[in-house]
Amino acid sequence: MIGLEVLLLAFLIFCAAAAILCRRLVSAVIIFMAYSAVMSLLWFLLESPDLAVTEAAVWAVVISLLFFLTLRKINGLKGMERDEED
Amino acid sequence: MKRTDRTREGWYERFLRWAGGEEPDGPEGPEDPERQEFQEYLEYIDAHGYLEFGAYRLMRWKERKEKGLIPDTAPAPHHEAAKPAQPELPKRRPGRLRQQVKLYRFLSVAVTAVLAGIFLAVALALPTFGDRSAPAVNEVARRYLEQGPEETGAVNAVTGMILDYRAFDTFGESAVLFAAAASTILLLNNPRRRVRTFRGPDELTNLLGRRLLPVILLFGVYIVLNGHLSPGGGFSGGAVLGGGLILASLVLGEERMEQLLPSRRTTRVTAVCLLAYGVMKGYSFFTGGNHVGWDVPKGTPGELFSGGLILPLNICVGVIVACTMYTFYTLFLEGEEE
Amino acid sequence: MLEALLEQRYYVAAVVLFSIGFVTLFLHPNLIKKIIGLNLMDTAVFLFLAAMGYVDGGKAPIVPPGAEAETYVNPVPGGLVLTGIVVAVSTTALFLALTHRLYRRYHSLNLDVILMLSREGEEDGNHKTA
Repeated sequence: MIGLEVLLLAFLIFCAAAAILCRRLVSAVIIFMAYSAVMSLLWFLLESPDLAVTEAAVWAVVISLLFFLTLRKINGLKGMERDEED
Repeated sequence: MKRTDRTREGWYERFLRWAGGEEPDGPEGPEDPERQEFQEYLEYIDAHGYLEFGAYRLMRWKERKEKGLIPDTAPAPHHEAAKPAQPELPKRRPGRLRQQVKLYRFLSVAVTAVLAGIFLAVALALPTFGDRSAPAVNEVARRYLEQGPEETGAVNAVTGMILDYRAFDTFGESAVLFAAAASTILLLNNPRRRVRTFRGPDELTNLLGRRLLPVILLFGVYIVLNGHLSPGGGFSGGAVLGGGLILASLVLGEERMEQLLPSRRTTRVTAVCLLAYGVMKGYSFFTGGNHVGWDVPKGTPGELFSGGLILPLNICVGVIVACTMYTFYTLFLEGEEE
Repeated sequence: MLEALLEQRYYVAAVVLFSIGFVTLFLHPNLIKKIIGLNLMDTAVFLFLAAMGYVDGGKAPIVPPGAEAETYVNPVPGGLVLTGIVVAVSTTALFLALTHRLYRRYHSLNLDVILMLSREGEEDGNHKTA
């Protein structure tokens, strides 16, 4: 059990560092989604199912969607540019 | 102020149209300086890789200024006229800024390291994780757990806590949500750009979404209604419902969704629910802090219609959260121009 | 030392996540990354609080009437975090909207570039009114 928890926590820290360090914003947001999913799993392990449901619904869905929409709007000028394809 | 905003937007929109490959016409002929600059920018990013347009303009302007092509009175980017040369500019030594940046980086890393060290020391000195005798597990939690079902009628202690013992706190949270939605509307809403282009869902979204949509909405309703019996409640169920509404907008198309649930209506529904919440919880003002003296029938704990006002309060919070999430989505979607 | 770190694993992870978010706020020039950093700090605090409420062998706080309090986890941090999550979401949406406005005005997400451009804009404005 402790092993699983430590593994998940390490993955969490790895995801956080990767989301900050990675260059493309789209990948950063996707990594952040993975981070939220793992976080909601951890809350199940902490016996707080209320938090887990909220986290999964809110962060992994709504917030990521808002990030994506913002990026899409911001990439309006970037859209015609060939090398950045999502 | 308003006028400059509008021209800026017009400029941005024109760029978007040019980027879409639209041919110049009328006053936007090929000799239009803005269009020329934009063409140069496109060539530049083709050659050198991507650079944001703002950064590009700044770079170009600096280049020209250094070459002396433009005297100091020449316009800065975005603007028609600029001041004569800055008096304090020559005073700066060239290496100075770099040094300051280095110092800033070093200091911020140092501050973070010191903070993290302090936190770590505190974390290691805290009572052991999961310790039953830790001071955090005190008589408050014990009271909520032991007396909660009788006093609030809710089996789920978390819901009983946030919607009965601490309902005012939750009222504040809902108001914060409403305020955030309102300020986002102020920031992003633009009646001139109401035109939306929707390409229609692709096959996969259609196939999966149509089957998943009822299940997700039903699940959200279930979570909201059973907030006092099982994990969940207004906040979680509202978030699931909001996600369901977003999926509905993806599957059914925004025009259809705009007919079913116009943004005006979501705002109104949110306000009504907030008011209803305030009225339902406002009686504590008159009966005293412990809301003694006016007992709402609690029902049998464990049944659907139990817990006094918790069920309607949960519905209110759920509707507020769902509407806010959906409003955020529509606001961020607006102004899409391909 | 390692023993203690393993013992307090949730607290340690929360501290590390908080530091990552904090240093991002200082050092990363990109506004979207700054918002992600702020969210990391949020979730780190939530993780810390939720871990505070856990007791060994406790179950989720769904309490039938007359049950023993000893067998359940502490519901107080859960309630605090639950409301905190939703508020964090709304502030994030607000930040994203502000970022979008800034991008429309200055065509850049880089805070340094935005600051430089806005300084030039101020000088220009002064000149116009003068």
